[in-house]
Amino acid sequence: MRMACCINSRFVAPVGLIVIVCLSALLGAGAKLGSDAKITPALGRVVLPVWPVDQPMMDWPVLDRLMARVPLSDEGRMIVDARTMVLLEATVAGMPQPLAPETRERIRFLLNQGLLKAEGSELADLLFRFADYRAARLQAPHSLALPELERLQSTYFGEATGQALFRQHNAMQQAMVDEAYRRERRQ
Amino acid sequence: MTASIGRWKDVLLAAATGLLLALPYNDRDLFILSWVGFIPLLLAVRDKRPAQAYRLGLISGLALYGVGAWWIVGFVEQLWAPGPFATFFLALLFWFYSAQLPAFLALSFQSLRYRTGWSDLLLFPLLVPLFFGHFPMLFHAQLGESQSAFLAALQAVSLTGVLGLDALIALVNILIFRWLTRQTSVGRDPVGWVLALMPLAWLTYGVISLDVWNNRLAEWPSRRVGLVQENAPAGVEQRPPVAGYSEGYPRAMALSERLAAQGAELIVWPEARFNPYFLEPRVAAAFRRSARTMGTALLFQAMERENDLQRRLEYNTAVLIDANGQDLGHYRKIKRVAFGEYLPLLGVFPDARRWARGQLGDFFSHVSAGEGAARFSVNQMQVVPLICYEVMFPYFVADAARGAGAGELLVTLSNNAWFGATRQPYQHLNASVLRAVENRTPLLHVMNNGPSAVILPDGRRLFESPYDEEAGYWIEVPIDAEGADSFFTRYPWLFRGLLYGVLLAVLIRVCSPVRSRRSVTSVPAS
Repeated sequence: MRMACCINSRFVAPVGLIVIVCLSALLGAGAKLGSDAKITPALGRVVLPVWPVDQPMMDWPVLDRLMARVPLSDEGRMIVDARTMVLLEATVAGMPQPLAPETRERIRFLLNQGLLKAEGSELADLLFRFADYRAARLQAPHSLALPELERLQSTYFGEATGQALFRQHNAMQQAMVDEAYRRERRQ
Repeated sequence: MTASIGRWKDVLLAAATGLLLALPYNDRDLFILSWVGFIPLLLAVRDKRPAQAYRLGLISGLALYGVGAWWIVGFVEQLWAPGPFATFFLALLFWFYSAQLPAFLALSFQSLRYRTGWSDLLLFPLLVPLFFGHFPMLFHAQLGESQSAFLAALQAVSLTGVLGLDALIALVNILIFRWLTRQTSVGRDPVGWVLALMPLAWLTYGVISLDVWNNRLAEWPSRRVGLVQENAPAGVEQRPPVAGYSEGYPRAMALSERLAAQGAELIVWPEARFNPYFLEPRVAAAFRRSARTMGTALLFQAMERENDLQRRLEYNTAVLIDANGQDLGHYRKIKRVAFGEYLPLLGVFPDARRWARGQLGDFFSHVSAGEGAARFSVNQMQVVPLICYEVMFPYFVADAARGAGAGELLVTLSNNAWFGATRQPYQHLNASVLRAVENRTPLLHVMNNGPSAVILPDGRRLFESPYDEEAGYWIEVPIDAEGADSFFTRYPWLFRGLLYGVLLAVLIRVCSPVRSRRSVTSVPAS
């Protein structure tokens, strides 16, 4: 008899219904009392503007490659030599010409952030001078002879830095010119 | 004909349970549904054999995870883009596996009812927390985590952990089911009445506790903390910094500077797989210089590599740099994501790893597990970092939080970009709410795409950011100046041990030579 009562699905007598309603009311009351009460903490929000899209296209990751590969001494000072020149050449190839003043400022800022301040500034100066030097070289009406090129290098970098950057490159150029001359003589 | 109608009725009832249990996971304000969600399944399985109960439980599970974990579709699509058919097939596979939880729960419940003859009031509240807490899921989710908006119900988890809330939900379900079906006359059910006092006591404790914590939090000193929500897209390939920024000065750093200018003492970035802090010493140096310049501590995540003679180990690591630019320490993630960071069972075989990388692409990257929890002292705060889904594991978090010093703050850094604009990031946040209450510690939930949040020790959300927004936020967070562990943090094994003890008794009863077996259609004992 009890078993039969148990397995049928007749719905509850009023007492059972009252109990269920009470249990539900309890849950509801608990939910109401403990609802996710709104609180107003002191808070603020900051956002960043996106980099202006109307600027000429710049390959920004070249700056990371430049900072990653720039030769530094054990003390963290920048070494200016042929490796630096190759890096600057590759970096400038990824930059628009001419550089907008905002882009120029941003590059200087990022180099200062990414390297020690003195090295960042030095590298930024060198990079901008290299960009100007490259533009001048490309704008020349004819292919520059080595003495002309050395004068241009000296104009943009000064005697000492120009020598440090281009000595190896210029020597190679000179050797190639000499070799071509010798070949010509032999023929 | 009648049998066929009955079968369909059972199927619909089982599916209704899945739906009722899933909806509170998707919308936390529907939490009340969990308290009655099992009743349709209980109605469907009550006179069924275990195998039939398994099938009905499976239907419940498919509905539960099909609705509650619909995000797996977007996840698979973002990860491999294998096309609609393959996406649906893989999602179905995931749901089918997950559905084994309710299926085996229903099977075990029916089996133990028949084999022990013991009351449903004992068996069901025992099995529900054990299955939800221990079934080997790919993405762990406790039943109680659907209750993150039901603050009165949350408070006592600081005594028992979320398993206690799971058990209570199961108890209320079985009580209502029992009285609804007149298994026992309500007037002659002293056990039922006594057990009905448990939800009453639980909720009364919750309401009182909320008031106590409200007053306590008002007395705690507050610290200004900053969160950065980068909102970077999902992807496995190394992404270059966006225009106008560099690896040493990412947008997160620019946002951090603005937060530091607002007085933030600690700034937290979310998990981002491509932070080259450990790979590029110049980036590490730049970050340290920035922290020193800002005068603010930075907590962020990066992938760390360690080479030895035979192999290269990779760790998912959180780093804290203090306001002086000192690297204060690292925390290596311990709980790794299966198939994303390690291969379950197969991981020891290098060939299996190679095969997985071939199948899963760069999404799979074998990450080694860290060896212990960390605690960073910074600006009179004790920061306990957690990475990604570690916050889903109650006992793991309790172990990390134990030994609270003054100023303890749980911080979880994660990246849910793979799940897209689905409910998954909100479900992740729900789990964080439970962990904050279990350990009675404020918790910073810092997500790549949001929502990021600050959760108080009573479960209230002090702040919740919008999803899909790049921004920095600063918030005054109350921090305990003294520091004390909750009961659960101190004794997390206690309630679980109680459940294991009862389970042992049940199993002994099952194996006992003297059995008073119940027939399939017999009355459950009280």
